[in-house]
Amino acid sequence: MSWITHHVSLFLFLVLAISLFCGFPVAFVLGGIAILFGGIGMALDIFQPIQFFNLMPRVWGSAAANPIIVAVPMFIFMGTMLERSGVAKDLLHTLQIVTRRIPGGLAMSVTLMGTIMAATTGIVGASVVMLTMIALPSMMERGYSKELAVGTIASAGTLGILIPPSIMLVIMGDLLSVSVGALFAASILPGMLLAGLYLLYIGITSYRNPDRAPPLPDDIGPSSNAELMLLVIKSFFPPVLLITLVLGSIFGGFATPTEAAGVGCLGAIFLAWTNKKLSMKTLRDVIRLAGLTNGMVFFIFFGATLFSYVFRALGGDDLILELLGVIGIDTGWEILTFMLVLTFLLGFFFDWIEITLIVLPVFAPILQSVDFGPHIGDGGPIVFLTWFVVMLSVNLQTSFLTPPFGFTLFYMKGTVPPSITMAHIYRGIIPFVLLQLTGLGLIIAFPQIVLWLPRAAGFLM
Amino acid sequence: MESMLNVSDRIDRLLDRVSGAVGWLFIVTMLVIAFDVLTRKIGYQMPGMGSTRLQEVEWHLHTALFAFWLGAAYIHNSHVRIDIAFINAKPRTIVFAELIGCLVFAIPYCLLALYFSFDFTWEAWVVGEASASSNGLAFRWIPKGCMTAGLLLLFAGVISVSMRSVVYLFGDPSLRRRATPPVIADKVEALS
Repeated sequence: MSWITHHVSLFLFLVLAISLFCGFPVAFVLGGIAILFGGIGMALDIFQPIQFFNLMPRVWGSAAANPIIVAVPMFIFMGTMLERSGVAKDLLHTLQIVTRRIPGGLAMSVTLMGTIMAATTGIVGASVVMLTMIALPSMMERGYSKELAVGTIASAGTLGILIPPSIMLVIMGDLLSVSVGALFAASILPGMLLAGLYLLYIGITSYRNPDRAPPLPDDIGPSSNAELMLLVIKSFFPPVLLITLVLGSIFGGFATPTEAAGVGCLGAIFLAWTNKKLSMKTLRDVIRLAGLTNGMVFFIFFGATLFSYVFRALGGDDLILELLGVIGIDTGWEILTFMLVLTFLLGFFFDWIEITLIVLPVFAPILQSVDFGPHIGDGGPIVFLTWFVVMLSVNLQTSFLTPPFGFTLFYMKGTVPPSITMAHIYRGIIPFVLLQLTGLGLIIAFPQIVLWLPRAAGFLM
Repeated sequence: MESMLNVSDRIDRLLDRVSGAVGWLFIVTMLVIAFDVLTRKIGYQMPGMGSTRLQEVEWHLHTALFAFWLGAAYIHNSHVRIDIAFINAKPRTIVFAELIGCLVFAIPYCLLALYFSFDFTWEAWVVGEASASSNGLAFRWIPKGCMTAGLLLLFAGVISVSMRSVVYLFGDPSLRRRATPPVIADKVEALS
């Protein structure tokens, strides 16, 4: 009996893992199983019914009465507005014309758009579907190889969870008490590093196999340089300027992420208006889509809060510490490796929202005490946490792309025409997974890639 | 059976209407944020509209925004699912799993959350809870009540989907099309 009492939290996780695959909304499954195990805990006399009361104050404190988290709905709205108003599509069109002489120009444009429009791509599934719908038809029309096309789109679509303004970083920063500004600053160079690696790969492979990435015919697009300039001014500068202003005001210390996001929303509406796409219908559409996404994100808070509370009340976090002790994981590098492997595996099945809200609270106390000393330099736990969050993000992003389970690939399969098979997707994504692993290795080996900018901006004093 | 569908339709319409109206708070929130930034940067704050108070208004609006969309997100199938096991299943199997899920997970969860959420709001009302900050907002029961109301609408949404699933599975075949639960709506549309 006492063995059961001691290990009941372990069963909680096992039952969760099995139930999740039945396709019922994750938040409900998390909450329902927490109630079930609360009941078992009551029968074993290690849980009191009144402990369920903790659900509301906790959700209230993390999801509602929290000025920082208001940035999340605002960034979701801003991204949806930029997408629905055709700003994203026009940007892709312009990039594709500007890069027409470069081998693989269209694929590069998709990567660049994923980098610039990272705001639209906070939710991995939605962003991959969106990018596929915007970019895949023109890539197929140009005669791109299917593998290169899907690989580029899937990788560009997941970049958005890392590159600011990323709502994942807002939520992670809030949970680990790291300033969101510091995380935004920390993820810029790694994001550019990854985008740079993608561009390099696309360029080399397109140069060596021109039939994989045929160039744009000359009769498409503006005929004179003046017209080209006008196109660039109309569709490239406005969104780039908007994103730069939003991020710049955060890095410069002029605005909190919430303020930057709120004003950024008005900016996105203004862009839609100058693009002559702002109508009552667009506005309604954007509100509806942003509302649904926002409801989805915050409902996970409800389910995950109850789950992780019951998990801990049943002794789950002690069990994990014990388990780590038994395996002999205690130094910084061992804990780091363990966390990265664990989240990589979880990333096959969960979106970042669930991983952030279930796993981070359990491991947060351990993470606070990890010491990496000279490898990352002075500044205490906050420096480690900043570095850690960025590694975790790149790690998750890689996991989402890795065959056979990476769930980005399944979203993609649901959107592409039947002529593109799962085998095309798997073959296409492998080079990008290798690039991701290279990037991850670089930021582990050289923490300065992550830490230089937030230090320079004064976030890690 | 048909009367169950009528109730489901009515619930869905209610959720759409409420969430649609609350959705405009996105615009209100950004305007409040912009106003707050503006008045603080020019260094003039209107009496009664100081930054502390405005920032509380912001997260109050945010609370209403997500709470009232929980149910709408469910009836429009926006909540994240991991459907690897059922990726090639027949619509009937998927609907059956949905019904079981509603009964085993969603209904107990909604009832528990509602019970404690109501308690939470009630307490705020009884003690007249207000902001800890002296120039913050009073009436904490309002945002807390929004969460309770949002959970209530979510529960209504779960009931609506459960009833649709029952009609789809066990009802007259002529009602099946109208009953289509959100989880298979995309598939049905793709087939027709």
